[in-house]
Amino acid sequence: MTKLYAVFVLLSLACNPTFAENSLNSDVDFAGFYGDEDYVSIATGTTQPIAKAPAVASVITASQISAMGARDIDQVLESVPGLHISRDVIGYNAQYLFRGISSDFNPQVLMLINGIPITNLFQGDRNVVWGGMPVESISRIEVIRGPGSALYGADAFAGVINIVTKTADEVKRNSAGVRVGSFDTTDVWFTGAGEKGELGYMGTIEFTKTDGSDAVISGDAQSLLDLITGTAVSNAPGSVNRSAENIELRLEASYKKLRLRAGSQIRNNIGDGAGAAQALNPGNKFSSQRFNVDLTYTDEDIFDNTLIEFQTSYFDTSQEVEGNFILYPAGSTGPFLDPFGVPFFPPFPDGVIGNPEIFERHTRFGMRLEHSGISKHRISAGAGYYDGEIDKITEWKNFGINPDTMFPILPGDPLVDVSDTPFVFLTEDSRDNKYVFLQDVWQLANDWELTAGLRHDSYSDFGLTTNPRLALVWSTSYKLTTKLLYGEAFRAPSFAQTRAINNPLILGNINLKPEEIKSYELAFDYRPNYELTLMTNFFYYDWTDIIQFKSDTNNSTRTAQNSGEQTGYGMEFEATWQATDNFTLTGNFAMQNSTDETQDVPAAKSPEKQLYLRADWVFPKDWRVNVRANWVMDRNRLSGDMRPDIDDYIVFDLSLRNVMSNTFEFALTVNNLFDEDAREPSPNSDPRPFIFNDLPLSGRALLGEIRYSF
Amino acid sequence: MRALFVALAALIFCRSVTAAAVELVIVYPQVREPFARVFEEIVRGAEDGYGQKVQRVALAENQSPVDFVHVLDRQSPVLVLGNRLARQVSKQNLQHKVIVGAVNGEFNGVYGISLTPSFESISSKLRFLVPSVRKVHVIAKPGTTAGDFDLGVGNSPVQESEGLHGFSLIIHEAEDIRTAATVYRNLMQTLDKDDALWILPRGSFVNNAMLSILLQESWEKRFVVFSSNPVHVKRGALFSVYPNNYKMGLSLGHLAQTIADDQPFSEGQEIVREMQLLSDVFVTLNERTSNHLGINLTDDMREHIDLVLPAR
Repeated sequence: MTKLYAVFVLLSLACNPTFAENSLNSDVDFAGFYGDEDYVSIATGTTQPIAKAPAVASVITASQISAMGARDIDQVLESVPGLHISRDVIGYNAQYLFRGISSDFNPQVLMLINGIPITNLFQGDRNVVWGGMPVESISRIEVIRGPGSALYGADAFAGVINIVTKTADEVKRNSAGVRVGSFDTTDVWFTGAGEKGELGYMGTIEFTKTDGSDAVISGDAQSLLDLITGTAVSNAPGSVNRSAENIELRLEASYKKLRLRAGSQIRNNIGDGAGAAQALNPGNKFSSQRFNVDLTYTDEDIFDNTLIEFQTSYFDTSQEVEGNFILYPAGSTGPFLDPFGVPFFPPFPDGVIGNPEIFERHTRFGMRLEHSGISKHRISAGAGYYDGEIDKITEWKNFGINPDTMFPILPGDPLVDVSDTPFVFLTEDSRDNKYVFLQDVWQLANDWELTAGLRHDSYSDFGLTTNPRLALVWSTSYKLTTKLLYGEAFRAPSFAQTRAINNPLILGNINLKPEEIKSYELAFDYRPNYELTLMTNFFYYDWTDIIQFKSDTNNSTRTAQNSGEQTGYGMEFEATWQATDNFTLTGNFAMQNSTDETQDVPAAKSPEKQLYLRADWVFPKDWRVNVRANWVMDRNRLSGDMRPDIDDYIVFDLSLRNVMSNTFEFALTVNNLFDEDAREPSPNSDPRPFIFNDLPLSGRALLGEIRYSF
Repeated sequence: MRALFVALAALIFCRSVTAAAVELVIVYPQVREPFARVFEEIVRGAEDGYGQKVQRVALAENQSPVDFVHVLDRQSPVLVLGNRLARQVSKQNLQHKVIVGAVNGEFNGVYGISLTPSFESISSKLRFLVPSVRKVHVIAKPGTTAGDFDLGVGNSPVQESEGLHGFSLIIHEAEDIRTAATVYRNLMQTLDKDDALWILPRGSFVNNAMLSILLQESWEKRFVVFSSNPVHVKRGALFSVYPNNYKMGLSLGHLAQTIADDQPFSEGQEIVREMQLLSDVFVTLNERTSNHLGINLTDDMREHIDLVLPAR
């Protein structure tokens, strides 16, 4: 209540209309001739007008990211209606939960950087060693809720997150900045751009370093093992391991009709979150080296009314271990117990160690045509080829079978290299994909537009899939637009699901089919006046062929099967109210009700309700205050998890920014202002959840930032 | 031969003296982004348009342009950008060759280009987009004449004038926002798809409430509303124009060049100094409204539209 009161007081302050004109603005009273400030940015090439897809979509701009004081995309994405960022046990990796769709590793969400997927073959996620993504190079983030396979292909399933980086045109002034704060966080960045004749170039480099979190896990998998086996070696209670040292590089050069982009995400000292085996070990560190390059040629002059684009891209990614990756701490017997809980082995003096490393390569080539020569039609067509390969897998471990002796590796034995043997955890393999797509945007009548699209994919491993979409957009009245949407999508099985071997418990299945989803949406965009925008949508989906690990007839292993089905319905509502010239209130409320149809129980993990509010106001002397509240409600436990439902939480964040001069800017951000004990659900396990008390998020964190433009 | 050499040397010497004497000084304000970019583009255009030596002076908010201009040679043209600086300089009644740009008010005694778009620049877009329109209505202060819109029809105090591009401009007078509301309401009863309503950047007495009524009515009756304010396009007006900063700068540079080439001013001499309306503009269009009006935007048409605001 006190918190809500504090917010109320801040809101009351914001509605005071007597603010003086801000400095640095008195010479820009001509802005009316350019429209508002957004128009000025567009007119001067700083930003581009954004054509939203005929879908339920959100766009977050660089200026909104800056106002939020965000240092990572996840802080920004939480503002999207119907999207909640939960956490995985391993690495505390982000799980982007749309509309109640959740699973291990979150492969049902497609993340793109400049329209190119960064999906990894291994688990279908962004990377096990993700490490977050800093925001300085980002021009905007486009988020589509619902399926998008008709356009984007595989994995555009529950939602699509496209991160668009800045172009040379957008960066007319160089800037550098530094941010320091809680959890030993230090970020440093530089952005520069220039042009020479028709050559434009831009570069951003960011170094970020953090210890990550002060959150403490009270008990882990080893705590339970200690209880069963009589050891006392658990590192719990202990801190969540969320350290990260990131280098993010983005380069762009454009010359005439060519654009070359390159990027790198170097991740070092990445903590393993709550541990791959849900056992804490503060020394566990991962690293990842990711490089991407793409070349795009766009031509509108070859044929009348036609745009032609060719694009080729290459993406190289790795998951590596720094030192040894300790699954269970020194002195643990490991999880190797007989049915009575008696360990097969004496304690492992150095702990149970497994050092899996994966190296992937992804190559893409695509072409796209857009033709608008036929009256009232805009036709796009394209084709492409993708080749993805896990080209190297290495594994060193101190348990399992020694391929040289064919006897078990015993506690105290040195690490054994099982790479390139039948005893490695995954086989090296590749996958290719050929696709064609066709889409028509048809102006049916003055106020009616129909978008119809179809994409056909052929995969070397699981075969063919065809996915349509239809979007009917009706400009119902001056103030109201109505959209009716239908889409289908598929999610390619990951290599972990198709090619996993030698895991004592789970096995891959090469015969898996892709998961499928059919989704229906009805959306309204209503603007009763110029200060207020209201958007709402209602959705229903049917998610089939969900890949789950089902018990085999021998009862000792589980194999991946297309066995699950989930349906869901719900609504998302969002409002933007420009109360005064100085004050904007944005909010959204989402609710969903999803059912695991195979067991007829409510789907777990995703919040059934969430409310997000953001107030942004400008004070005299170029001060800007941004307050955010994120209320996460009603998350169900998995069927069979006997714990009481996880508590709801409200986290408040506050950012204060001051443009001190044309060159200096200062910002202060407090995340989790009231130090709320916010937790994300931990997995269920047998006989009970290993991390019983769920996954705690960070407490209050303070960050200060100075930015210099020149 | 020697005489030729001397003549050449004299020519070169004189040119260099002349060049030094006609340096263009551009004074503009230091503002925050993205507005700084506007001035940057205008200055770049002016540099290219002037074609000779140019000195840039960016002034902070607490710096006066007057002290700076005072010490300049009166032969040097001075281009002053932005309302604040232009106001300060124009008040001084300086004898310098002052040119103002990026301003939205009336300035006497100076050369310059206003940000107010000329009717010609906007009406040509109307003809191109909606050739069926026959009458353009505008509400303006009493005494406004067609001549005020640079129609090339002189300053005749007529209420209706055959303007350029073959349609009539009908001026409806209103004293203030209250009388304007009545005029608008009466006018809306009579408009149909052959009519267009032009909202001036200032002086058309349109607040948000009135704009909403106008645009709602135009949606239902399918008459065209176009505006000199791009924000109105965001809100549903069919199209608007906004300054092409670089080209405006280029025009200012050319103007400075013309003035610099004039004979030196002498004390007390009367010179015709007046503002021109803006003709260097970009066009922005609302696609939702154009679809509603049944305007089929071909690629050729799109090439003439600089910024299409996509449908929701």
